[in-house]
Amino acid sequence: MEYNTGTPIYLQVIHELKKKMVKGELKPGEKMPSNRDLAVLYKVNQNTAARIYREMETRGYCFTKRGIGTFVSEEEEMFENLKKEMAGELLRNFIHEMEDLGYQKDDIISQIEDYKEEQK
Amino acid sequence: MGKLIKYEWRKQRTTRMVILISLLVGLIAFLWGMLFKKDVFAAMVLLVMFSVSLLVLLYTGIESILILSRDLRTKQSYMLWMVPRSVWEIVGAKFISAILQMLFSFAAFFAAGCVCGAALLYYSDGMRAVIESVQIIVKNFFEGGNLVNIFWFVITFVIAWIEIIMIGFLAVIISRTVLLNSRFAGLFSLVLFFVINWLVERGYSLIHAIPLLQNAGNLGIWNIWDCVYYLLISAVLFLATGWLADRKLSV
Amino acid sequence: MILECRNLTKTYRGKKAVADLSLSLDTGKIYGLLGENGSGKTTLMKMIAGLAKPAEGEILYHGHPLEYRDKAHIAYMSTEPFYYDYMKVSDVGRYYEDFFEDFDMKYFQDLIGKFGLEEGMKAKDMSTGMSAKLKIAATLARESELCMLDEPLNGVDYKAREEIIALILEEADDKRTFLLSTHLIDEIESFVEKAFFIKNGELIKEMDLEAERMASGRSLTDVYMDIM
Repeated sequence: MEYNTGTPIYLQVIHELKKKMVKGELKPGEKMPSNRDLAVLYKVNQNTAARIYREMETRGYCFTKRGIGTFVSEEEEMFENLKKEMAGELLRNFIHEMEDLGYQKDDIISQIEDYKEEQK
Repeated sequence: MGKLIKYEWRKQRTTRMVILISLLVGLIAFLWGMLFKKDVFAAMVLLVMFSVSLLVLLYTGIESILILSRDLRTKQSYMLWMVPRSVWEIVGAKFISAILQMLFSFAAFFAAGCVCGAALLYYSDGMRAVIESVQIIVKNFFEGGNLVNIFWFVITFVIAWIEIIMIGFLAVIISRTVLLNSRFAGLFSLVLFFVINWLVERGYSLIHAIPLLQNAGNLGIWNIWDCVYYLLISAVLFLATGWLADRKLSV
Repeated sequence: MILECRNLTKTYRGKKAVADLSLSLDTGKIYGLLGENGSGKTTLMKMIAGLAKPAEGEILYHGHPLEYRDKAHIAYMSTEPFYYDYMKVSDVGRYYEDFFEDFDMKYFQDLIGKFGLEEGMKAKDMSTGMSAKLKIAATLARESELCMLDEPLNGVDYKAREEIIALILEEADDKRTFLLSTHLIDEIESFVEKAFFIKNGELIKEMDLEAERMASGRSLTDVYMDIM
């Protein structure tokens, strides 16, 4: 995975894992990689891998069964919220940038529609 | 310690191979000369073998010193000094494998000498003469002073040689610690070798100035006190080498 | 704390290779040792490995002055090949097995296979890449408490580089400590926890990577370019 080396690596990995959950690549209740495997997979050290799971656990994205491993949360609601949250984040950034360029709400909507039209 | 000796012994394998092969070639040439009555040729071969063997014995003596020097100078030194063994074990293993190498060369030359001798007798007087002469040799060996003389000769030789090795080890270690990897470290250790040797000889003559020790316990080439002296000196040299290496040696 | 260096100084031919350097390492972390060629990184590692003796200062391992027995728990891999000329791959394995109790022969053989080396290959005749792989395999097959790798990514192709990093990440659990030196800073950016910057034998900066990113948004490369 390509990192932006100026922001904390563990946050970037959490973001990536959240995306995988929303996209369904990590399903509710599924066992997540061990610390060691996560470390190799994302080219981080095992302490960072542990930190990633700790953070995700406190936010309710996953849970740990002692001696067995870490599992993706089974709460449907959490997945819905996660999806909304990530969409909201993207939207916020997008609108913020567009407004920076001087676009108003209606302009932005018509820009989106035009873009979608062109893509067809 | 055994494992260290195993790898030190391995480092001198090439020399052993060279000794064995050249002995074999010499022997074959000699036997060929005997078989076809080329007496002059056989005698020449014998002469060459004898002088080469002296040179080789000399070389095996200093080879272990050269190996130590190489083990400090090149990157291969990491192999030896990264292992969790004390300096004493490492230097000790080098010393023991040097002795083993010496014994090996001795044994090889002795065996070759026996074969030559046997062949010589066989082709001159036939088989019976061989057996007879062996009997005579054995008889002489076990009668009177001959055996003692030979024993003392061997002991003296081994001790002298131990001392040379120890002087060499100390010289190399001093030049690699005090004159830290200077370009002249090699030359410096050679000079040191002679200086220490000279010091040891000075000590020797000083001890001989003590009247009581003169002519005491004289047995053959050296007297017994000479042996004690050189053994003590070797021990001191070994201690100095280990002590210095333990504190100062960087590879 | 597994290792502490206090005011280490080492002089080579009148020039200070390491000058009054103090640092400490905690168990279970991956450290980076950064600096230009000849800055003193190798000398520092060699002193910790017990191959070189400091002129001044001391090295404490688990709180006691470093001694030869500690070499049983400290692995060091030098930049240059150092195996005996006669050694084949299998001889190197046997040598490590003979002298290091923490050496895992089976793991070594696995790594050899993974790297595409064969037991009968001679260390002396190997290409730079193969020789680097052999060194790495032998060193990593020791389950040492402290593992120091001097330029482990030098001379190997991209694929092998990624393999070596994966191996380090796999092995670096909470019981083992790694100290890596490298010129390929962006290769280690994502997984090194703390970096030591060495210049002219002196430690000029210690950097906690994630904390620095959090605080100033600067990466390892940014800091390196700034201070070196």
